[in-house]
Amino acid sequence: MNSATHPDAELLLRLADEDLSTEETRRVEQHLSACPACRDELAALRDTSEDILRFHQTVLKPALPEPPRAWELPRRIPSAPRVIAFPIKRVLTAAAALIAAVVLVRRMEQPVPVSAAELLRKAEVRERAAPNPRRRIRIRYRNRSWTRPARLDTLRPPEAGDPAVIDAMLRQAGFSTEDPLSAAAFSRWRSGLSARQDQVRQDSENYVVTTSTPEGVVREASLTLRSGDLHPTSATLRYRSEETVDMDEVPADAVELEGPRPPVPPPAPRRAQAPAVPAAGPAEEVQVMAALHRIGADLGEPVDVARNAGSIDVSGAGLAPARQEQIRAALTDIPGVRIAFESGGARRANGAGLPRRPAAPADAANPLIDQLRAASNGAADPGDSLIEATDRAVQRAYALAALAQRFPAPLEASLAPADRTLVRRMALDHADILSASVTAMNTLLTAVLPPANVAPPAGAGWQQTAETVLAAARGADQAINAATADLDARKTRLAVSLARLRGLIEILRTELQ
Amino acid sequence: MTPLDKQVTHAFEECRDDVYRYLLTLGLTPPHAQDAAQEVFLRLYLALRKGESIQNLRGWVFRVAHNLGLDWRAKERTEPLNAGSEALLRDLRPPADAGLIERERMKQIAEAWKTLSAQQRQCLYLRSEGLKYREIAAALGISISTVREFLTRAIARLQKAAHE
Repeated sequence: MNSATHPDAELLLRLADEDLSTEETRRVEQHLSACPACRDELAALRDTSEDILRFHQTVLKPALPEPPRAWELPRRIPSAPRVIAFPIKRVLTAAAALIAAVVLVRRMEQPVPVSAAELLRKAEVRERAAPNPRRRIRIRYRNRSWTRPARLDTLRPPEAGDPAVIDAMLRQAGFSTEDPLSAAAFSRWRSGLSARQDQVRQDSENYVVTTSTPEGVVREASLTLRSGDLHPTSATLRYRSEETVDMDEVPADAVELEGPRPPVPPPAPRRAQAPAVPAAGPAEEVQVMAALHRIGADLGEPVDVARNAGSIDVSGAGLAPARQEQIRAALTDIPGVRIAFESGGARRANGAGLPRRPAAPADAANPLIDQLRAASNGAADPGDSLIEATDRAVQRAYALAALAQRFPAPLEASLAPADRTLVRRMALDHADILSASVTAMNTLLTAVLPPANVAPPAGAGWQQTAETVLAAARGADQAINAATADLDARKTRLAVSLARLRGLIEILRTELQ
Repeated sequence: MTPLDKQVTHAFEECRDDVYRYLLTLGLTPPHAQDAAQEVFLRLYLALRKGESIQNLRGWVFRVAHNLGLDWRAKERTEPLNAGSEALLRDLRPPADAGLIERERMKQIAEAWKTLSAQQRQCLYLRSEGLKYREIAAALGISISTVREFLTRAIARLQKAAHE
């Protein structure tokens, strides 16, 4: 997906369940920051998710009967390995079971070494099952201290007085700024480390999980969990730079005294002041597009570029501050550019005039993907690879068509040769990646697709061809994701679309040379 | 007690009830489910003693439990597939001490839960047990993207039920 399209239900669920890569998370969050509708959907999903957890704990599991006998410790097994016929013979007599139970009771009196992963996992399940919206935490860094709700909606505009430096420290560490004093945030940081060492200490009231690592900016982090309910009460991040960020929970009575925070009205959208700018024309527009292309900001991000009388207006909605900076930096040397970023509000992205990619239907199985999976024995999931390759192809097809619409043939003809070359080089970049993605789709699908013969397409100028490419790419995408049409018809359609795409890409490349 | 004993004992105490209940949901009767759960930890003990490296104990334990559960069902054939889990599904009751709204909500979810496919229920069950998608996929022997599809559909259905 790209940030101009709405994430489908699956992507939102994967975000909530932390099943996305950092890059995918960034992209979805970027979209969410600009789209209240998707934020609502995510909130509803999280509610349901909590309901399901409570259902699991309070309804489903209690409905299952208790084990009929006492448990037998697995370590009471003879030491020589043996082949065990299943079901295992019940060998313990009642007396032996009693001994086992006694051993068990005695063991529980001794401190049992606890694994950090287990503790964190349990703590995570509990915090997911019982969120406390009134919980507040204090974060300390250097001589500053900041009290805030434990869980922040990072997607809301920042409040006045938010110490950006603390956010930056957390982010740098790979810690969630949304809910930093939580088992989830700690686990997420911890599981991102490829080398680490855990230590769990236990005193009468707490477990303290300490993880140290040679990687990243944080050399050691520790999380204190109350022994009774595994509730996280404090955490410390020790940076390699010898700085420290401390977090602890503000006791509930202090919260009562302080009272709920009055809602802070969101700040007015920031707009760059429009200084007197030198006149800009199509040549500057090419420069702007090329600069955005270099930083990958022409692939459906909510960035608009419009050439108005004398200026190139670049606007963006809901972009992360870092991305805004990157875009400003990329455009800094081009004369006549006005930049305006809005911090909130959904805006349609460049190319949004083109039809939006429909989300994959969530309610039907996809027999094509199933068949593909059945045909492969490899470890990598061909279904995943196919969907990724298709997404990449469609993304580039959209970018190509958008470029073609921006520089139609007559306008392109009026450009200086160097600028024209620049436009075509961008188009060729898109065509190359599109071509590689189509080849990947083709390789994955060879086994299940019928042969397709299509007449070689005729060239009509690259701008025209780009439109046809988009239509074919969308055709392939729909054939892969369609829920209703019968499988054979879809396969034929897919084979034809892919064959057509291959031919069109060849023509396009020739036209762009 | 050797470190190995400690590790196995710890895993056993942590997970045995969860594993046992999961086996019940696969359709095993309580005595069989308990035997199978014991077997799971026996295998864990043997695997660790052989020096096998197990990244995530909980994920491993559920994967082995799932496979043993299916083996058992295939061998016994004393009852129709999933009879156990279907039987227990008839009897899903919200906790008596829950508030009115919560009871209503849990009832709605229970009704919708009954309409899910066995595999959707298994995915959802393991997710609620704290397994990551990757571990659910390994446990059920399906691809991670199938897990995602099942979960998305199952949760969408439960969500819809809760708002009707």
